[in-house]
Amino acid sequence: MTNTETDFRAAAEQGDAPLLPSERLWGFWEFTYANSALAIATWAFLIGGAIGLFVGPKEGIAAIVIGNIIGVVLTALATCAPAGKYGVEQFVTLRSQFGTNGSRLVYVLAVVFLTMGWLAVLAMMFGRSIDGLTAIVGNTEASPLGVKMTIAACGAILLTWFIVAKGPTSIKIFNMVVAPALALLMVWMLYLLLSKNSFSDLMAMQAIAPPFEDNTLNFIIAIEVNLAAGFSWWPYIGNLARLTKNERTAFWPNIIGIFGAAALGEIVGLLAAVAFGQSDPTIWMTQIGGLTVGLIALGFVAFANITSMANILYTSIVGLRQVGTEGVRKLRWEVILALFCVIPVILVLFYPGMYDGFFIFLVWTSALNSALAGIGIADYFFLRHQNLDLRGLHAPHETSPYRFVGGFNPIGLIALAVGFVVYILIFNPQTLASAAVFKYLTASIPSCLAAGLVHYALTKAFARANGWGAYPKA
Amino acid sequence: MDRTTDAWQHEIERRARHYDDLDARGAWEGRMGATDYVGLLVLTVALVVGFWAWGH
Repeated sequence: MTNTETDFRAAAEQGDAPLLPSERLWGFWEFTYANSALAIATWAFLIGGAIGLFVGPKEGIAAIVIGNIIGVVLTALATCAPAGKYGVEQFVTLRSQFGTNGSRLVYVLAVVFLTMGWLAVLAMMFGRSIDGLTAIVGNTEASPLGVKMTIAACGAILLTWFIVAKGPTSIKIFNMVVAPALALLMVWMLYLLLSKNSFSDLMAMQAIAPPFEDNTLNFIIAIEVNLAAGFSWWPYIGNLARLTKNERTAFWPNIIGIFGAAALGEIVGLLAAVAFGQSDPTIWMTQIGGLTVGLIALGFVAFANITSMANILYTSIVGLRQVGTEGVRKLRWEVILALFCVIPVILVLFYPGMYDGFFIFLVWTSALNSALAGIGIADYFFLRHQNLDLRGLHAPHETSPYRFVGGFNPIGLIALAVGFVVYILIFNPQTLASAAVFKYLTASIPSCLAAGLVHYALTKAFARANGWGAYPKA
Repeated sequence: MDRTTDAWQHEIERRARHYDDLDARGAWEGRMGATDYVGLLVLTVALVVGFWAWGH
């Protein structure tokens, strides 16, 4: 291969051009392993624990399966199907839905905010794990909001910055160790739980703090949190799927990897939280198997948090450089990483309560992610009939058919706004107040449908007449 | 890599032509077909209905 060919290949791998089928790395099982490694993360314990606040184990397991399967399927259809067919970078594909500049706006709204929030939450989980560890060793009381937690959380962000600044190889090494070890830890914890309680006893346990007397409403909120968890993969899985050999290989492994692995972790988190009456994994881990098990589990979870943080920080910055302006692309890798870490540090310092109400933050993200999935499905499957214009997607802004209006597709953005508004009219994540329809439809599903339908109808009505977006005539 | 050069545009053209050719020959390997979508629908509905009935 000549230097130029190598350069083009490297640029394609980084997302600047579509990957050819022969250049793609992963078959079915490689992709299953890769997205299992992403899904088996410490946040699964957190989400499972949060579900235990609303419902008992039996309803919780049902909510985990129902919410995640719907969220993961809709998200994978919107992102992995086009990525698997054409090998196009996810946010380049997004130009066909939102315009060359609109895709940048969506990136900031959906990826930057989400990743910054998760970085802060996981850093606080690291801090609490360290605080719990020192409390066990020193035989003192843990102080989850204390100075020790804050210093350790800021240290976690600094360490993550250092690892990601070193490049993807260091992250890969962490992943190879952490993903299988976390899977073993989950199975071990499940064994410990089942050895102390019979399955029927576990299933008969009650929720920790159900917010409403109406059990159906609590159950639907638990489903909604899991829908949010399923939709929260929207920013990440498309760019993994483009490395797979074909469309089918890009899609089905998500059902085993993302859905299956995340559900397993959440179920362990749920059962432990309800059994110990404590939704915070850094607390129930100290109780699950005595001193030694607590020390190992907390130490490992602290380590695993760094891996999860490194994964999402790396993915986000790669995408940011892809959608960013020339100014952003010229910033040194270490500098852009450091700038990205500023907001998570501020959240750790001034909003440590975010950890305990993290599911509120997670559910807010679904107001955007569910709408984005709806728009993606409407645009790719029903308006473009699964055909993308690769030349147009990679053309400079001046000649791109996806310029729309100043680089923004007003139709896509209106549909996104409609999806968001529908969501918060039906369910307010902050107060958990809901409209009557929430008990029958959840909030994410109507938001996804509304955004998709508005995008479809307005595109049919106005886009072709205005010559926007190179939509096919039929 | 400068994405405005002729060489870069030729590379995009080469890659796009590869996919045009697959399309023209109907030679897409591993395309999702009706079986995949029906299977997906059945799996999703079965999990949702089954776990709803079991859990609630």
